[in-house]
Amino acid sequence: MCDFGLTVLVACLVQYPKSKTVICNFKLSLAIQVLFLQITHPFAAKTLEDFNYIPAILSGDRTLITRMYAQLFPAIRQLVKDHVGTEDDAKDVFQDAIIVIYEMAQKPGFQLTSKFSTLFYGVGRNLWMSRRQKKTNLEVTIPEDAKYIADDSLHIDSLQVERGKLFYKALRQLGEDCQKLLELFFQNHKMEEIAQKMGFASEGYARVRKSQCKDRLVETIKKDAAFKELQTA
Amino acid sequence: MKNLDNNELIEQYLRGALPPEDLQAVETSLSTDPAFRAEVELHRQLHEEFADPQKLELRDLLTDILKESPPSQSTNYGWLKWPGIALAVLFLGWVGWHWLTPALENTQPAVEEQIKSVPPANEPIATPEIRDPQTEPLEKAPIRPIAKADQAAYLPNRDFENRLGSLIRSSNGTAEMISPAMGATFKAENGVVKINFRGAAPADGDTAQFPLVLKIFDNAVDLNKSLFQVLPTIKNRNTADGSWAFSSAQRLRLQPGLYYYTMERQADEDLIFVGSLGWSSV
Repeated sequence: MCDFGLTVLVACLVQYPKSKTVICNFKLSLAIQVLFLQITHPFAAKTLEDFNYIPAILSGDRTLITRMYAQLFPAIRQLVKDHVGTEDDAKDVFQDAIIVIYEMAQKPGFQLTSKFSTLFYGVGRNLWMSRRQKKTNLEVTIPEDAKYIADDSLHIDSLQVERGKLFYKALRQLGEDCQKLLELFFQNHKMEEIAQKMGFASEGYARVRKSQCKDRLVETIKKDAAFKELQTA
Repeated sequence: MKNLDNNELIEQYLRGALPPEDLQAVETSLSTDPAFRAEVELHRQLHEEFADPQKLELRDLLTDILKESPPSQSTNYGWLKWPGIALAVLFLGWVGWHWLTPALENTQPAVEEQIKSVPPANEPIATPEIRDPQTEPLEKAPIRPIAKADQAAYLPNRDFENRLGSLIRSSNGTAEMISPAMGATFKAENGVVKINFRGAAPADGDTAQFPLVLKIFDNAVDLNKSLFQVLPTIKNRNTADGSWAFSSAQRLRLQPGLYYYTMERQADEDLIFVGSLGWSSV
């Protein structure tokens, strides 16, 4: 389509010195307008497209998730900063919202019924409002729109979200061997297979190491202040 | 090894692999010992959280991506880029039209005379002006009057009259115009009308992401040919009533007549508010 506009434009410019007719003037004007629309429309389309990032989230597509970060993080950041939050809080909310949507999308029968950005913003808003409510111990006035989204379509267990984040943080504080061993264990690999993958001499030794690592994981979790908050929530 | 037996016991219980006598003992402990119950629950939550390898990989990916500031959005032209693009293309159009002007002189001299000698807004117009908004630059304030000052200019446009007011109701509320009042009539001073478009838009992700566009049309409404358009500034995003205030103060030089204005989302050009106003010469 862009080629069409350019072709007409060039044809008229070439033709013009020979024939200054109204028809050519009209064509030239039309060509300029067509070119204008064709230049701006793809840009507008790219700027304004509401891309569905759910497949990218489910497949862990780095490129698209990075694009999602560029496109949708500013709105989350603005939301958080407007409600007494920091850039780090905004990143937390952004990350948690993606995990929440990941879990939602895994459930059978899940269907995206609104724009992805609307869902994402709604999830982010819900997460930040619950977090702020817990932080301040004050009742947060939730605007009607968020309540509508929260009550009717978004069932977000904010405790589970916080718990998942705490567990992940604790796991990544362990040594690499413990992390790898526990990941294999929690993913229900057999101890024999775990021993082989970890290069352990025997299945018995793998069990011992697994138990040590799990104790360390549980201890790390229990020492975290966030765990105590979760217990009292 | 600390808690070796305990860990194995809990894991076998969670797997449903305990022999009956051990199962009985565990269930008794669960009902009588809150600390043991909490411990079993913690193990269950750990198994549930880490069972999905993809979720763990997603968290790792996000941790990595979010270490940096968000990249500049290559497709995020934002409102700052639209004027640049529009100006560049309008300049091309102006150059092209300017180049063609000699041809117009040869073929339609009467039209050229009429375009050049348009009287100011507060003087009656002797001959009808041929208006061609396509050639008008899309500026905030048109330089010269761009509409007729005759009875036809006051005729209501049925399509827009039927759509006055808020058009879209979403879960996030409606857009509302606080100013100007619907059907307000203004008087031009020295051919210029000062008007402050103020209103509220739903405080949602769409409004956050896609700018609002204010457009003005004369009563011969052609949705593809607004007289001018502007992106109003959105303020007060932290209002508690779920809406964001926007405003745009304009100084307009228009011929007396009836006009319509629309508020649209730049995303999909759906009309979210239609209003009307008129003005007369001083």
